[in-house]
Amino acid sequence: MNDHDRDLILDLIHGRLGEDEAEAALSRVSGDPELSNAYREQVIVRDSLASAGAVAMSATERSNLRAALTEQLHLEVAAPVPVVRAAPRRSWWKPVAGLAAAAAAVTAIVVLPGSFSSDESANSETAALQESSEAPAATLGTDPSVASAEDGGTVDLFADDEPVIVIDLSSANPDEILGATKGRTLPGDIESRLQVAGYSSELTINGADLEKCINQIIAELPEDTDQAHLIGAGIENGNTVVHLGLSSAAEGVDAIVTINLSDCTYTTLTNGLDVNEG
Amino acid sequence: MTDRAHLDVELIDRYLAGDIGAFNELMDAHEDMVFGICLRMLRDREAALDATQDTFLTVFRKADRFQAKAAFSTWLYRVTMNTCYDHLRRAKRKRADRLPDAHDPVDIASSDPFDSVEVRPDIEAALATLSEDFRAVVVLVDLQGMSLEQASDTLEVPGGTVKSRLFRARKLLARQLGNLRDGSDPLIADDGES
Repeated sequence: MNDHDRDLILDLIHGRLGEDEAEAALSRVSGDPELSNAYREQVIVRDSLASAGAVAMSATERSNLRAALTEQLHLEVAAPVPVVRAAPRRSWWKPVAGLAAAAAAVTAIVVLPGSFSSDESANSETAALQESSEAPAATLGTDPSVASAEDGGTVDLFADDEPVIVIDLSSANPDEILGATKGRTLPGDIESRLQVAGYSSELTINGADLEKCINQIIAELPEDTDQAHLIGAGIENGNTVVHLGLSSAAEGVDAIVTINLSDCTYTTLTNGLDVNEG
Repeated sequence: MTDRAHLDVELIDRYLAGDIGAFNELMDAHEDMVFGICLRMLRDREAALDATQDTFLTVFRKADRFQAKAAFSTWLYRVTMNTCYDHLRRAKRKRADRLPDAHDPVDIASSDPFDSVEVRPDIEAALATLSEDFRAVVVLVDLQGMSLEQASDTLEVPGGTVKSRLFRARKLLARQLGNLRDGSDPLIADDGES
């Protein structure tokens, strides 16, 4: 068999011949046992391989790939940043929080079940916050999922339907921020709890040091910062840290501040991963 | 250009303008194809995931250099193949460093290397015996559904070379699959091009 015969068979199989050419080729192939065998062999193998079906990544693999690329390509820098008041909250901070978590090696996360849904407006969030400030202080509880995070893994508790505490810094004071971290009574009298891995049951989130610390940090924040989202907390190098997402109406979300409660130092992680320390 | 090719050009422009949605749309359109090529070339799921990531990193980092003379997909799959060849070369070097005397042929009786490949074991075993160049053309045309022209563009070899490799690869596979089904265990050494 020569190269011309080989090409003829392949062109026939791959539909690269016109009707008349194909008819002539079929006639030639069927009249020659060697060509006929080669043709059949090619078709059988092609069909066997085609039956292997498509391969695809799992949802987890796909998600991990996107996350890795987003981080390595620094896509947050180039991406238009939504103004938080007008956009669904979870879409902006989740990838940024992921970066923060990676950078800070967070081993545990605060769970803050709340009484408002993720798609409510900023006004209703503020109202909910005011209500929450009047709620009784939370009992520090333990949670198996948080405990497992202390063992070395990071538990992703930021499911899409999980509420985020929003604090309006235009009229902010420490009490409001601290109030937002307190437990509240949910519809149906289901008591929510503030769960912070690493805290002992004797400690309260609104201790004097924290209040002083947050006061100090608020004073140093850019003047146009008007919202902070409490997005998590954890243990970093043995110290308790709290993560706040910061935003302004003009610029949208532009930073996460991680506050080290042990010495009241803080790190600001911007969208471009520039780190400022104070 | 096809509608897909036009759309890809638009998406690249939007991506370069900072639109993260365009990035996601490009990923949606092409990630399975890229992963499929990588998995079938590298025959290892973890390696394929790494190669898929490397491919997209390269493409997005060099997106500003993409010229719409050719389809974005052609460029993307070319990068994919080059990335796979790089991974294969690195894997060979690693094996050589670890086992300097090891030059055994692929053990097609062992199913371990193919556990995560998701191709029928007999087909995968037969594919594993092909040279990289032969395997590449079979992966692109018969497993990933590319036309001969697309395979030629992707591999940057003449159409005649694609035909030659494909024809001979299928002949080798036919022999191999027949032997496997007969229960014998031959290895194919003849993978030269005509």
